[in-house]
Amino acid sequence: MSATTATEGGPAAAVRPHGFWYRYRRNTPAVIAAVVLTLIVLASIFAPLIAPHSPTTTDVFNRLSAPTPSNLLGTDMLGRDVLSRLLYAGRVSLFAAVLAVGVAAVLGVPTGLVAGFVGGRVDWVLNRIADVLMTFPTLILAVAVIGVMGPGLTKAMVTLGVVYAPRLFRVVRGATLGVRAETYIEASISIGTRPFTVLRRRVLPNILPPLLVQLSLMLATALLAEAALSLLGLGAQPPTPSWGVELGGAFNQIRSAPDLVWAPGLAIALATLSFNLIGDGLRDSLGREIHRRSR
Amino acid sequence: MTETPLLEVSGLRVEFATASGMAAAVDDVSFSVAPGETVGLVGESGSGKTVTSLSIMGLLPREAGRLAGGSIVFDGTDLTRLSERRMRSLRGSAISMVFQEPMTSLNPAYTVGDQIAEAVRRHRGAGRRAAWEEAVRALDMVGIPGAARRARQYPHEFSGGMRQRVMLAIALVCKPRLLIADEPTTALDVTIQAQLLDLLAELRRELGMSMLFVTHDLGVVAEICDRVVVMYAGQVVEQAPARAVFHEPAHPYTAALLAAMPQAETEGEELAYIPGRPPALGAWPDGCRFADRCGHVAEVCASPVSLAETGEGRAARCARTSELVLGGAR
Amino acid sequence: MLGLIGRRLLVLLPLLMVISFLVFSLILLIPGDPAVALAGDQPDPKRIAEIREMLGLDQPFFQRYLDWLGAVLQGDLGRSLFTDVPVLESLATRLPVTLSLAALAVVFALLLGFAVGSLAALRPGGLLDRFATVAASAGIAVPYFWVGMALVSVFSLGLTWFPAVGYTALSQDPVGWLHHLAIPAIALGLAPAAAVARQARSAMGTVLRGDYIRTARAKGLGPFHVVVKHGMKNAAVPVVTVLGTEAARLIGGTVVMEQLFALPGIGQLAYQAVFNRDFPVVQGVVMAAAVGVLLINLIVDVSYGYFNPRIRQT
Repeated sequence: MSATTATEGGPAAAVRPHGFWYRYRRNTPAVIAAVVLTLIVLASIFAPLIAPHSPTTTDVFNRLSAPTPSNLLGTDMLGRDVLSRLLYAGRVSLFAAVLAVGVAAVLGVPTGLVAGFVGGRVDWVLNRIADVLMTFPTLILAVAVIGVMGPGLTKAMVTLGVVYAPRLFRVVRGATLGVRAETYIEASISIGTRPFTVLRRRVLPNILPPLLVQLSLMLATALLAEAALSLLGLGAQPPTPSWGVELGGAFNQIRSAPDLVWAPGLAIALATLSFNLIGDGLRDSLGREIHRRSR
Repeated sequence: MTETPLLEVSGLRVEFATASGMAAAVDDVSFSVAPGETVGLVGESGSGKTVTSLSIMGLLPREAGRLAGGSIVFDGTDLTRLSERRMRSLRGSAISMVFQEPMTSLNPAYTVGDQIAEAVRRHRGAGRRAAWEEAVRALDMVGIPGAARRARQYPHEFSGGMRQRVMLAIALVCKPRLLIADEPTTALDVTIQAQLLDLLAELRRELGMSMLFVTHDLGVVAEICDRVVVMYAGQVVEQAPARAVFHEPAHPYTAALLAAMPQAETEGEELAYIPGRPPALGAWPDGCRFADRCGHVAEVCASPVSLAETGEGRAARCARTSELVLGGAR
Repeated sequence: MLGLIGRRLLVLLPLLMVISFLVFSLILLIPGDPAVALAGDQPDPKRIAEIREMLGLDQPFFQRYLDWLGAVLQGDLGRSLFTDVPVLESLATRLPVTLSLAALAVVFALLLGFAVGSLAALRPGGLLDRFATVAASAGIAVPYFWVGMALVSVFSLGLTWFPAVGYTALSQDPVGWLHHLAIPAIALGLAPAAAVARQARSAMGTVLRGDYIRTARAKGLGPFHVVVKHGMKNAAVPVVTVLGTEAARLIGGTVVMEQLFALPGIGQLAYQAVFNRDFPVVQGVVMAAAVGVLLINLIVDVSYGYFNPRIRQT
């Protein structure tokens, strides 16, 4: 560990010889995952530019065709280009995952901060709410909410976000409790720093590492859930392409075109695996950062 | 000793992987144990005494240690040439071992009765019920009151001394011919220690077995052993009948150990101790390994010394042993 | 032991109350008049009135909740708006299917996970250990439904070793039961197996270095006996804990798997109810799922006492 004195966190860590980037770069799977994920994200963002065909143009004379130079991954049951649909689907699926995790963060992070910082009765009540929410199997609750409100990707993802929130709440609360015990927080408060400033400048940098790890892992879970719901027809609604929709469509044709399930499944698997490996990599390389900063 | 020994270790060499390649933790170790005899294997930690006893059991940690030479003949068979399968059938039946750590050597998840009965079922092919009865009898034998009830209890319900008795029951339930006791009393209170030593001596007589008693404590050796093998830095430095060692040690290291023995009568007097530390594994000198810490060191000590006979049933690994007059136990 | 179970159950009661309230509150999420929304695409006034009557919608919310709770406590979860079958009855007839699927998946996860984890722990840093670490990362990330599809594609449609869809009751034909459930159970059990393997690897690594393992070997026990008897029970607590968390997720997964493999379980019931907007059934399924998760947690808690005798006495 470097002997440099603890300074205000952030980018300074990157230039230290044994800082975060140094350790992360040594974790080969995590680096590969970051590259793969970047490619997937870029491909999704620039789908309109790189997709060879329109994702929704059907061609009844060219249904379920094998890969050809024109349709690199073949066509689906309506003659649409599989590759183009996958590229566009990435936008929908990734955005859905980010939406769910965003909702979870908006609900879980502030409450976690408050619970950890204020403690007492507020902490108790928030914890019990988290207990209850964590009792519901995520997917079943999402299915139920959709059953009540009607299908739709946004509704599904917001629901998932609500159910995921307790997990972030727990992480943030735990980290906040740990930071609060540190003496410099008390010192800040005693010299009259406003609580909000203390939160932002002292607490947030310390809870960020575990939070980032959790967010990364959660994105993987959300991506899987989107796929599962859309696959069942409860999430994204055709003809909107999403990886889950593509997989569901392919599975319906599995007897006539068993190979169609590979591509969308692989896309989901690669993305979730990347998020997981990045999360593991973050955990391993951010871990010591926490110790150093909170010293 | 005219009898054929029950156990004969000769030229034993065990190598361990260190940062700088393989190093011999045990080097050219030879000694024997006669039927019914108790031999004390004495040395500081790191002298190779535990490695030696684990080698006899065939329980060297696989990834670290390697038997690199020598033979271990038990009752006419060389254990080093035995298949793992044959070795397993000896372990716990013909040769047993008790370990130093009574608090952690029993499995917390099973009753003590079960852990004793297990050995019976393994080696005698006994049924569940018969093995259990045997286990209760063994608990009774090692002096645990209310054995039938206690057999159904878990290790955490036993004190340290009682747990070591349980360990003893496991080791002895199949009536082994050789018991290796590796510092069995070190972790215990002094009074409990004494009780356990008495029990060991008594059981050894009763079962007519041989015992290899591994310890760093010469006081314990005096109480229980017939003969002593002193080890230092992976080598045997002295071998002699227990009484002889105490009165006239032949190796300066043994003498130093004796001088360092705490004694009740000399309370208040400053304890002698051996200055310095044994050389680290892999950093052993070519000459006498004790030279650095020896008060009698001379030029001759820089060249290799071998274990040489110094009298009837005695041997020492010291170039100057014939010139020195060493003090015995105070 | 029974005291332990009793105390845990007592703790669960208030939790169950809150859960039931939340489940009942689901109806508040229905946009507009619930009776109209639930009456279908072309609602006729008679049907709307019927639903309003059935759900007691003309009464205040809390009154309705208390009535519903009273009925639930007597085992009455209401009737399906669609088929008029009592919800409890539907749940009961479908429970064995879901339970079979989930139990098989858990068994598969335990067997595979423990075996791989233990073998990896035997030689840390060895080839198998490194392979298992990578496989576990992949196993956790791979979508279970996709694994199911891939297995169907290869083993059901390609090699025709397994039926692609359908279900046979265990009581009718145990072999057929296993035959039908094998692929979905394996697919569903893969991610938990990976999680178990990770946990077992680290727990076994610690346990196998323990002194009592040396004692067991000194008794002359063979490696298999040493690992299975003396290792597993001690490594079980963290493994069962992770399995408990995974089991909750696995319950959600049954909804997808039952749909893909046409298994007539609770998940399929939920799916149909969602499309029919069959509110009482949706309510019943969510309630059943939450109770299921609580029960799993209870079993996990109680199992700690079995694996670690020290817990039993406190």
